Amino acid sequence: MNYYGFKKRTEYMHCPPSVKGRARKIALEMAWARALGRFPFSDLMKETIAAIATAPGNGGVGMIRISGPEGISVLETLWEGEVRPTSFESRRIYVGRIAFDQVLAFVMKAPSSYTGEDVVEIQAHGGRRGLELLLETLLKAGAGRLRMANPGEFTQRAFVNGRIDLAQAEAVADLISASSEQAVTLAGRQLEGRLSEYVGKLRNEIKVMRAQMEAMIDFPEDEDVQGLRYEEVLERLQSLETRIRSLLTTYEEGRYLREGIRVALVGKPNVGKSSLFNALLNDDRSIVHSTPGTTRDTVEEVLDFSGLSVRFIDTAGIREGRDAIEGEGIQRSQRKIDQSDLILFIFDVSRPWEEADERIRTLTTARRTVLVANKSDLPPAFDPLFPAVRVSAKTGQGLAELKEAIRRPYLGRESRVQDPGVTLSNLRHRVALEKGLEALDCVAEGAREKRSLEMLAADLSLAMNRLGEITGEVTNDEILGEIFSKFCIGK
Amino acid sequence: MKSFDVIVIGAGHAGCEAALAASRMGARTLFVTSNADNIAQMSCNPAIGGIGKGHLVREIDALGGEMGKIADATGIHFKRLNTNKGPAVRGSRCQSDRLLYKRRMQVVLCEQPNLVIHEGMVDEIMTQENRVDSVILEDGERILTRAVVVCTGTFLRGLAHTGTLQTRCGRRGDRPSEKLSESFLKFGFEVGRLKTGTPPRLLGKSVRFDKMEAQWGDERPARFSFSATRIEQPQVACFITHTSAETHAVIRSNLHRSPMYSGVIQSTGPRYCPSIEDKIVKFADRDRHQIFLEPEGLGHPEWYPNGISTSLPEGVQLTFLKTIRGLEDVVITKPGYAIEYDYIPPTQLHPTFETRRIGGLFHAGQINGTTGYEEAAAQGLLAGINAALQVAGRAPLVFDRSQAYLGILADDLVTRGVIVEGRAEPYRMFTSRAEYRLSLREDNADLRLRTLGHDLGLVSSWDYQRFSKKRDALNLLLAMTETRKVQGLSLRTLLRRPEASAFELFSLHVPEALSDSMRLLEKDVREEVLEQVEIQAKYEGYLERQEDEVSRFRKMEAVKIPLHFGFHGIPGLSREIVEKLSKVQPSSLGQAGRIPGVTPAALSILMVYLNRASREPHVG
Repeated sequence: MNYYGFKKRTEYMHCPPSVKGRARKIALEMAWARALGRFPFSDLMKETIAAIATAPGNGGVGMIRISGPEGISVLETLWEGEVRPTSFESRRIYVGRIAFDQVLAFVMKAPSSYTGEDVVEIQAHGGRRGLELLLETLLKAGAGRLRMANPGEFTQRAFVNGRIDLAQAEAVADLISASSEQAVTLAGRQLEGRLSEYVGKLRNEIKVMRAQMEAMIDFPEDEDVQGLRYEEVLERLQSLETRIRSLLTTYEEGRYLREGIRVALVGKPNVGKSSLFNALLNDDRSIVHSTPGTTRDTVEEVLDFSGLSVRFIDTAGIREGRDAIEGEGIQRSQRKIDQSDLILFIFDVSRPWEEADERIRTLTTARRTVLVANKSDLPPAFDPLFPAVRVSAKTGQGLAELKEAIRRPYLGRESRVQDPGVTLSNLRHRVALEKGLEALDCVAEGAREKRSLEMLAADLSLAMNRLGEITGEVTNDEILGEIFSKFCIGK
Repeated sequence: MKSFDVIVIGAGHAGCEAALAASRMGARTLFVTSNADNIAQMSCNPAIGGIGKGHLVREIDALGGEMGKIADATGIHFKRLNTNKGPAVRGSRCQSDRLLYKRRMQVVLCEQPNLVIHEGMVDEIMTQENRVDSVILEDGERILTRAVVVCTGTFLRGLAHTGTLQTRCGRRGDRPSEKLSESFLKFGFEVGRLKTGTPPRLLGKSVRFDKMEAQWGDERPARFSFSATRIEQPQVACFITHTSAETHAVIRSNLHRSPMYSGVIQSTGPRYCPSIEDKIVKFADRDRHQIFLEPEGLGHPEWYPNGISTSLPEGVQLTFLKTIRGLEDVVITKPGYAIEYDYIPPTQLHPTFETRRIGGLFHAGQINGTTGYEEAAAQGLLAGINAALQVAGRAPLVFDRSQAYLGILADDLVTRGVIVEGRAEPYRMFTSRAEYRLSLREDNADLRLRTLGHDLGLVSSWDYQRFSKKRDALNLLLAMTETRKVQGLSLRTLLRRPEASAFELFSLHVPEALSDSMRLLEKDVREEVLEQVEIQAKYEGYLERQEDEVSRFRKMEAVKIPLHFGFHGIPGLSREIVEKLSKVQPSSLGQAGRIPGVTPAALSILMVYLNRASREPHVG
């Protein structure tokens, strides 16, 4: 059946007629008490949760923890390695790959784990960004089975499953309330307070729009309820979406300032990737240091471009200059692109544009890319139709412009249409906003197709709920209040 | 001494459903009313249904209630609202003949086995060990009982105001109940005061209908009840007119004579059903307000002007009425009035409508702070069912918010009560109260609830058989929409196109399915089935998107809080939150989260303790 109805028949509890008098009365009362307040195990505890378990910052290695029954099977879908996660022994460390990173993983089976459930811990490289990407990959692969953990949730489970003793109960409760009522703490107030105020405004606009729809739905006969036109809905949605998008970009920007950006150099062989890289490296205005990674073939070079630290990833490959075009090469480029914030796509302007150039370029379209026309000291073989920075690694011509082109989108403010004046720093908030945006997209689609108002209102309320995860829920009473204050209702 | 299983006090719309449900389920039921002639009286406007309210009537009907059947039998003007919008928010409404309505209901009640109607007044409810035991009538007679359903409407210490004139009454012309409130105070219930109003009634022959705009009902009336096979009564028109600047001037200069504005009435009225005084003060910029003239019945001398409820003195009422187009020579037959009455805040109830304080005592209807015949009938039905279930020693019936408007009504009342923004306001159903509105529709009320109604013994086997045939045909066609493909696309996909019609698609591509499945169905039912197929296809994407929310909601509902759970002493919960939780005594974590002021942080602490307690019962 495709409707939400009764799937199960109600069970009746009979009190046998043989039970008489007071005993019968007590038996009946107990049956009612049971029915009104039965005690099944919380389904919420059966969900599998994941989060980054190491403190924020730029450590060399970080950890992601997954707790719950689905952890191992989610790992199974992503794991590239000799031993399959389903046959992992408890408490033994295994090496393998997940997407772009080489990782260590180990499994602790229930009940002897921190939370008392099956726990998977994955150690991976790099700063926050690498871990977040990995977590996102896991969440995507485990969609429907795996969700992000709430603050304090691992500890909560540990407590519920008896892994922490009762004496710690109060501490746990304090911990939970402290983490979710951060707004009260002095440090939390400014950051969280301003963000929730900003998101609150967005949510309020959605609320007003929804109240208008609800008024038209619930009071169609009242003259006072004005028609809301689809064009108007679309206009308002567009303005909302623009602001949510620019708020989302602050998440990236805040991180760029704290952690720098990751840049990948891609291009077919012999376009001068390594000489360009060396030219950037040897430019005396850059402060250079080299961090050998723990993975065999990765060397990360960090340069300082007047305040922005720029991390060139997978530079080992560039130096060796053994990027093949087919197979491994394309995959390699793809991996680099996935891990980076910015791509320098390099081509040789002194030689004709080839299919190989085109193929690599199509890989980069999803990311912010700077096109670099190298070897511009030689006579050009063609005139690129797209905006490219002309440089010559050999003469050093155009290097300053290239650095500025890398830096500008991150430190300059031109990239944003509107400056929300607040910064997004929490992945949970970002996920909430992204889902809200998704729901608003559905509303817009509905409005474009001129669908009936109750359908638009349904997606609008989804969007409101998502934003409500940041600001607190909008109740139906609030919507009704909005209707009655705006419209004279009363047929 | 006489003895009954269930006693229902009050014979309004809640009382009628309660008495019928209880007696139909086998409980020997006594029905006490102060005036048997006014059983099932429509005290305000003579209409049943509307948006949200129509949904309730369909659900009542699916569970075997009476309201929809009587409305169909006595309806003289049917109108489906929101037909320009989607099926989830379409609401059926009819004007009923006021006299016919109550006579029909009275006949049904009189013929009902197991039911005794008694004209009289209950003065006191007696208890033993916090359970109802008997009631004492006005004449001193004591009648034993195991459950009492109180449906006293506006009768508890009712006080009507017209200007400065105050009358003690339950409704114009009916005695109020002065003593019963004392029982509630004695039991320790919190008692509040609410206000509502009604407009003057007008003499039809003094109204110039030719100067107004006539509004006819639908050409093909949609019935409320699955049992009704045709609409019996002749159909008549309603009329529309408007107030004028002059009307507003008269009212404005007499505001001090309205008890609402002179401060005589302290209690508040509903925002969605404001008096004309309210409309003119709060929306001063509007130059006119709409008035619907509704017939009181076929050949009935009186008309009901919807939209101008007032408590101004009768003289002022007449003066302002005469400034309205078409009412220049109007004669008032009964002046409008505001009425104040006692209500018992419903946060003191279980979701079964049984009070938490006294076992076996159920409250339904306006006593719970609601307004509207449909809301009252819905509560009466659920309270009657639960009273009978309790007496029979069976598990109670409680719906959640994703199952039915009935569940939303009960949950809102017991969890949030009727206090909005710090003041009490009579509760009315709106579709915007339903989080999962797209799946709670008028058109699928019987698919959602009728089987249950049959299990409870409330739906006749004749109706149930007809329903089963409909359901089977629907399931067959629905299955076919998924399996049958036309040029690689399933019928379901084709049906999602805005202009697609199920009838055309089926008769074009699978005509044999139509003739096989529909052969046994009546014409109306056939149309319903095809409509249902279309609706389910068109809403599919939206329902899927809602699925996540629904399952999150169900999970929270499934975490039960035991009866008499002590919220005191849980570390991390603020005293304010402990108080709120103790007052409502939520039965699930989900319900706790809907109590205004309970924070997500408090919920997670509560969840930890509940889980902990369920592992080690001696700890909680």
